[in-house]
Amino acid sequence: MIPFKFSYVVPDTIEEAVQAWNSAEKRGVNPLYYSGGTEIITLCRDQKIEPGLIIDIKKIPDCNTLVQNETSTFGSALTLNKIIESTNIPILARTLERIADHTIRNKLTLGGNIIGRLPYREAVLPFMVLYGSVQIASANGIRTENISDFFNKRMLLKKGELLVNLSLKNDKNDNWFYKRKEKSGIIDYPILTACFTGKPGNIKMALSGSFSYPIRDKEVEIILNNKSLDHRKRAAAVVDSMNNLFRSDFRASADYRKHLLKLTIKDALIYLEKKNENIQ
Amino acid sequence: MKKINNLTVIGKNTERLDGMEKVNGNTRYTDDLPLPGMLYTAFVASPHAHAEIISIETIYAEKAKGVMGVFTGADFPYLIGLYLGDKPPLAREKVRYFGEPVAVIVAQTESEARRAAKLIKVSYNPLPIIASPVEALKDDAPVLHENLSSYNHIDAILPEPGTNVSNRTKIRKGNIEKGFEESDTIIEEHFSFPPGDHVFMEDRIAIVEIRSDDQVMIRSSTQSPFGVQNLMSSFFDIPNGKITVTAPPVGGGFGGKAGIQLEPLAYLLSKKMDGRPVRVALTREEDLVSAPGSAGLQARVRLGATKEGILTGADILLLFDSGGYADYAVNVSRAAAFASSGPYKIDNLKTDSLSVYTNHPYATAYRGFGHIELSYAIERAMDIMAAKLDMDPLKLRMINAIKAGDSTPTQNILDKNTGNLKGCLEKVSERLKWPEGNYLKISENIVRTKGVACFWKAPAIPTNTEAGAILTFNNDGSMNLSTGAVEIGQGIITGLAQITAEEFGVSTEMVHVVREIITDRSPHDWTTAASRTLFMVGRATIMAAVDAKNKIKKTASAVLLCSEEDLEISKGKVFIRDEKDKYITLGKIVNGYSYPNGTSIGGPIIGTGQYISRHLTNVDPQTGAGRPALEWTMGAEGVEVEVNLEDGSFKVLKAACAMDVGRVINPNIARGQVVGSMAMGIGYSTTEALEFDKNQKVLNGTLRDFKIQRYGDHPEYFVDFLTTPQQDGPYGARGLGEQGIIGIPGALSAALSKAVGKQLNRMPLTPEYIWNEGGIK
Repeated sequence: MIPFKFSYVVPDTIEEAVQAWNSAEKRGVNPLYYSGGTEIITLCRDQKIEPGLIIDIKKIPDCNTLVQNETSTFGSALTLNKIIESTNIPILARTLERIADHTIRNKLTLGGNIIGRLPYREAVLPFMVLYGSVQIASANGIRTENISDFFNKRMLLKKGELLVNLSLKNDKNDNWFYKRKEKSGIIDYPILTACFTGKPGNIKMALSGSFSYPIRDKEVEIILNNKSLDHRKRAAAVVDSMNNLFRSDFRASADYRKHLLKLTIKDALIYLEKKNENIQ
Repeated sequence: MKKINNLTVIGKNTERLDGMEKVNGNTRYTDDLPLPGMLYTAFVASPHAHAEIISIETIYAEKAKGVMGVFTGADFPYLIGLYLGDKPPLAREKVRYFGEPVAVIVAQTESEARRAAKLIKVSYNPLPIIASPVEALKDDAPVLHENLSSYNHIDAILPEPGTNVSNRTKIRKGNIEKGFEESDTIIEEHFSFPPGDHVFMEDRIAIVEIRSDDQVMIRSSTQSPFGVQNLMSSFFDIPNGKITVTAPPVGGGFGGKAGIQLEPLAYLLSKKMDGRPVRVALTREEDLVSAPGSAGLQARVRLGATKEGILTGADILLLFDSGGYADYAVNVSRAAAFASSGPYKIDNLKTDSLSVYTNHPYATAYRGFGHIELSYAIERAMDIMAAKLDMDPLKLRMINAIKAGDSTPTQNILDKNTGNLKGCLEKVSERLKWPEGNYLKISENIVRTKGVACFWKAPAIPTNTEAGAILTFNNDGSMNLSTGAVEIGQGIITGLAQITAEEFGVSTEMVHVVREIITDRSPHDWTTAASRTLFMVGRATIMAAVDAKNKIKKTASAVLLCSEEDLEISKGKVFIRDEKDKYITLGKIVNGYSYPNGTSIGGPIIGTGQYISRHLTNVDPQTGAGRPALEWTMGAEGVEVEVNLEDGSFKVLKAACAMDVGRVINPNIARGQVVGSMAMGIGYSTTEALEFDKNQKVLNGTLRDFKIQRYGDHPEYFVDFLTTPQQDGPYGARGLGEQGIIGIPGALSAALSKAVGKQLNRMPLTPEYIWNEGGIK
């Protein structure tokens, strides 16, 4: 149970939401945007946070966008299950459907998964490897940012900025590879989540679970695409280049995480090469 | 007892009596009946595993809105324990485990209590930490209970003051030196696993109020209403009769609610609040860490056998990680000693089973009551021995399987009620297709392997364990059965209804089983635990049924003008056996019979029954000789797994269990118990382990991080029951609630060891551990 009282508003528009946030902040009321709420509820139960105003963004149309063309846009308030059911982008569906379990995915939202406190943020990975961009709203209006510029360990939102939606470029000809590993059972936080897209020589890779935050690193991708090394050596070289970043915790040691990533890179490279050959 | 050949209800899949209300959410658990004027609590818990409490600042909490009182250990100078009085209701002077409660707020609402709890400031002086039983036994280890010598305890428990040993149980059977001299092969190995938790669905809760006439009224999610009554009486010097304990249906116990928990504190708080009802309830996180779970283990087994595989001797050391307090662990470790050979004939046996204090969350009874621990050790040792002898591990178990005429670790000769263990092994072998082999390479990285283990357990009970039953009747001829058995999800009320229905020749629709046990009106009962409830309460129920039938026949013989021996009762009537048209419908006689002219005879029929464990004795403290065990349920189980050697990940494909239960009262419910315990065993072995940092702080104290088995994780289950009768059991039945969990750690470890070609002697069995030991690098 949440042992304190708080106010709750349901804005109809982005402007109302941002305004509610700013005016609450000015009054010292401690506002929080809310969509799925799974994290907020846990943190409030433990009294680790104490929002004075909860701003429910689930009724804002722009936060519920679902458009799929060459560029596809997904609202931040969409539940993961809604996106999984509706999307024609396989790597997006695969990544989202391994997060938590089906019941919880009825509540988890795209935005909440990416900008909550938990470090995994797996929903951002497909956007990282598919030329993703985000639409942000603030008191100064609405703007678009590229994920490659706007995500560094986390989405670089300033306080009070609202994540409205995310977009990506869907190339149906592009191949993809996805892998997720957990400590024991599949319903758990990851010790490795890996999304790969692209053709051999131009493979993009975004990772979560191995480190304390999601990473896509273009320097690392140069090593990943270095054809002068065989698959195993390339995998080892990639892992070596990120050596100090691997996380050790009670779910897995850094050594085991490194091993899993090596295996996954090897499998991804083999798979994507095979797929590429089949197409040609 | 009825003749066993024409059973109409026993052995049938009667639908659970409480099924509909449970799935519709109507069951009234302890927290579902709030009392007027009830007060709420919240705890402050220690963030240290071992520390002196320097000061507790309560002033801001006391002033907070809605707060009625703030209490710390200083307010309650009591030492409480089931067998050894070592634990204050709130920590006094020091904390001995991460999560130990140091203060409690009483407030008018739960919110207010939780808000105020955050205003309490505690300062600590950290102390050196003991992380395992082995560490606790070192000469220079800090002594966690300096006053161990002054603690009250029962005679059977032997604490060792000046050390961290709260009990040592010894088995000295035969001659161990001779045993090893006679062996051709000796193996010795160490095994271990960390503490875990029950994770029952309903968190612990107790509500206590004190009536103006000083009657203490306790409502609690408990498996042991009479146990709570007894313990409260002895802790606080209150006559038993002045304590009324109500046990509503329980949302899962697994032994975690079989002792005493929140009731003493709830009572003390109610006393501080002028007798107002005080609700002490735990959050899931508090239940996982602050409240006790399952014990950890460090064990060493030295096992000797001839080259033909006949076991000649075993020297076993079992160290139970009981955490900061002893609770049930002193008895759990004792029960383990009594069964430490596993279900094998070992004539020369030396066992030392110790419960040891450490700075871990403390342990209480857990499904299996020490038998998972002893089995893990002996079953791993059996597999290691089989490997050394180059013998099929199933064959090694067959050769040594215990049978009637052999003696137990306590030198008790097994009688003709002994189950057919070899038959169980054969059944498991058949289910897993063992003769086809236990190692199969599927591809370069994937192997399929199998492992087996045997198990046995007798209820670990006091020598005076008792049960009772009362039958009363309604004017429609249906009956009300009142016993002391708590429905904790095991299906006991359905089983007892079936037994009663069978006795009367009716369907279970005519039997109403009382759902709430209240100590002032329910028959006395030891505790609903130890897989003895169906056995003992079943016996008492049969006796009550027979008593009621005799009383009905007495009245009926006057009405029907015949001798009582000529009468039978079936299908709602009492009738003359060979003149069936001369009958009385039960409804017309069970509460008195009226003749046509109005004259009435008889009166309300009340059937009573009782049972007490027969011929149990205390054991010799030096050798363990005696008869503590009532009846042994034994069996075998095995698993088939598929392992990916590249990363150690695996899937349990099949899990089979065959056990000799004498008779199955309700096949679906019995299967449910066994499948449930196997599932719990898989979780126990693979994920349900507490994780600690180097300061023994718990890292995975929420269900986001402490994972249990899910639907979809499950293997294909095979459950088989053998039926060598238990002649003194109800309809020949034996207990079966716990046994299915016991052999799973051994079987699973065996299968995974086979996969990686290296003996895995630790749990939890995680992919990382498996890969580290023998995966493809």
